[in-house]
Amino acid sequence: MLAFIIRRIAIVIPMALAISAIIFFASRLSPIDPLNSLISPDAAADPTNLAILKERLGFNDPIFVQYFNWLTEMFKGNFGYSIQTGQPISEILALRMPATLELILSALVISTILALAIGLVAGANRGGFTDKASRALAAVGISVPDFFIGLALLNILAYRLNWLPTGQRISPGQVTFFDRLPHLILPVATLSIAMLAVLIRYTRNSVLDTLNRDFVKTARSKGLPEWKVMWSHVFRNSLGPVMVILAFRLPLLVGGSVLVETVFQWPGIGSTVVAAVTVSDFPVIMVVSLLIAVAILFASFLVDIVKSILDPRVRLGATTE
Amino acid sequence: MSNILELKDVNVTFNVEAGQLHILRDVSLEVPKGSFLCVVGESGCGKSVTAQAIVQLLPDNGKVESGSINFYDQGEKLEINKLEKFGSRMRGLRGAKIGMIFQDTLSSLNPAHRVGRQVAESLLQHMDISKDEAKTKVIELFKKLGIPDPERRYEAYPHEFSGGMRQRVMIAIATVCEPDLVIADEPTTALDVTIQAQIMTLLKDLQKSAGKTFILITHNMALVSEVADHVAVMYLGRVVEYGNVNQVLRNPRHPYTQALLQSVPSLAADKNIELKTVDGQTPSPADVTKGCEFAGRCPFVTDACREQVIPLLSFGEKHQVRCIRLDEKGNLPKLSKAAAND
Repeated sequence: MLAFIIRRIAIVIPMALAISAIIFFASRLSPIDPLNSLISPDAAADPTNLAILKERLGFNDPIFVQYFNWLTEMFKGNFGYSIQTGQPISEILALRMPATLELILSALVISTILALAIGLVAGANRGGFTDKASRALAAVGISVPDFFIGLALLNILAYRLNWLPTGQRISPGQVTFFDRLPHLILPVATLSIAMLAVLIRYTRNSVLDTLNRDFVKTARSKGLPEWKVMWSHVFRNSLGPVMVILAFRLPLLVGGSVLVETVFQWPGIGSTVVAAVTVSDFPVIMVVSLLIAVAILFASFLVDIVKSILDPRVRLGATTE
Repeated sequence: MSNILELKDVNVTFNVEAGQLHILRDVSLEVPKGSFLCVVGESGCGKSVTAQAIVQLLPDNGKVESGSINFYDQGEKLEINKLEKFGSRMRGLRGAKIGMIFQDTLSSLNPAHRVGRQVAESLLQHMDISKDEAKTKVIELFKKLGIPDPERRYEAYPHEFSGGMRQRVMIAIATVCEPDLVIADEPTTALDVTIQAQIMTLLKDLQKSAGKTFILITHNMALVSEVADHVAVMYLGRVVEYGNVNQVLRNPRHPYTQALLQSVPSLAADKNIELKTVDGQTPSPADVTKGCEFAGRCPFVTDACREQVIPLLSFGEKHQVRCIRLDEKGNLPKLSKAAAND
């Protein structure tokens, strides 16, 4: 097990470095010169001013040295400053990150648990009510874009029926978690639905596949009750493929959170990125992209570990039949 | 001796896209307690379906249409086909009274569970014992079945075993609750010949020492001659010949059984003599009409064979043959030279 984890880490680290390089060099390829927003147009009229600024900010160093410096600063936790506001980026992150994590993790946990439960029931009772209902939900969840579902929910539940707040993370004067909960419902529902739709279908199909495997017949030939066959033989072996899809869908969840945060005025990283992109605030864009990439790498690393626990053949590098 | 299992006119159908397939036709079998019955026949003749019907584990689209399957549990008669498929009564039989051994050991064992747990599961289901007691029992059984280093192997996963060792684990699963009847569905097909012999010896020993009844489903005639007491030959969903091992193997009466035995290669045979095969193709179950299923391939065929329903005729002591071309003594007519060379 330990050897397996070390092997996985050995793959993750070079990948993270490669991504950081892509982010850094891609930002340098942009035709927009970030210096323009650091200097007043009057001062920029004199090229010597620009040259002094360039020298001072290290833009004259060879690009690989610049990349190396940037990377070392990242490791030290010095993420730099926002060009737009002059705030340290670490401060922005500390302020905004919890909101986004709250949103994404809630959506992830809720959609995963619901999807596994519904998918198992739908697969076990193929053609039954749950199966048909989940198929309808999947059609909606996959074909209708997140932001549209968000707006529709907002219009009906918040605006017309007034059951839930229309946006923001918290209303003025409220402090406890339970005050915040109503604010969380709509954004999380919006973010979850696409993920939920896809995962239910995958779980259901995976359960159907597993039901056809011979070891299910063996389990039944032992006289086990059906719930036990389902739980300890079918379900566990169905989880592997679902975990892979989960890992693949994570980036979409992060991408979706950008839209959802905008629709619901959620004060998270997503809305920060949107704001940063509109004014070419490169340091912010770079740091956030890097963080998201690393987070997704880490998540897929975790999924690998979970998979290896579910199926012992994975960690031995054995082929799956 | 009394029977432990009786199948009477069992018909099994499968629903497929094209309609309904009649897979088992009026299958009747009697299995005396403590005997070793071999069910032989080529692929697709319904051997495995028969086994699945006995334990009520047919695929979802399969169904016992008519007939009765009776199991005798210490003298008490149980009509298996009237029990609810996953009801507690039926589940009480599976594993506890009837053990199953399957062919493909790699896919028949759960890859995510340690083998010890998979064997103990059956014990814990049927007997009122603790996990530790179950573990001790399983390790004992592993030792008896010739699994080396049983304490360590208890914790291993199926993919860490060789095919032969995995089959021993399967046998452990099937026999751990000491069932009266063990049904082995081609248990050695996927194994090397030397391992095959070991496994068969193991099964035969279990039958002899523990007095268990075995039903072995196989297409390997060599195995049959070594272990069987009784043999049932199946062709296209019907039992065409049934009798004790001497009757069926030494004195086969049905043309299909004869053809099947002639197609077994022998080491003593002259290399220059061409190995006999059964002429023609097995028809699809969908094509079967009334009359003898083997008519299309049988050298003794007459018009009557194709048109009338063929009864099961008895010769000697419980030697049953489904063929109308036999005379009163059970001999087939002599073939003319032309017909024989045809």
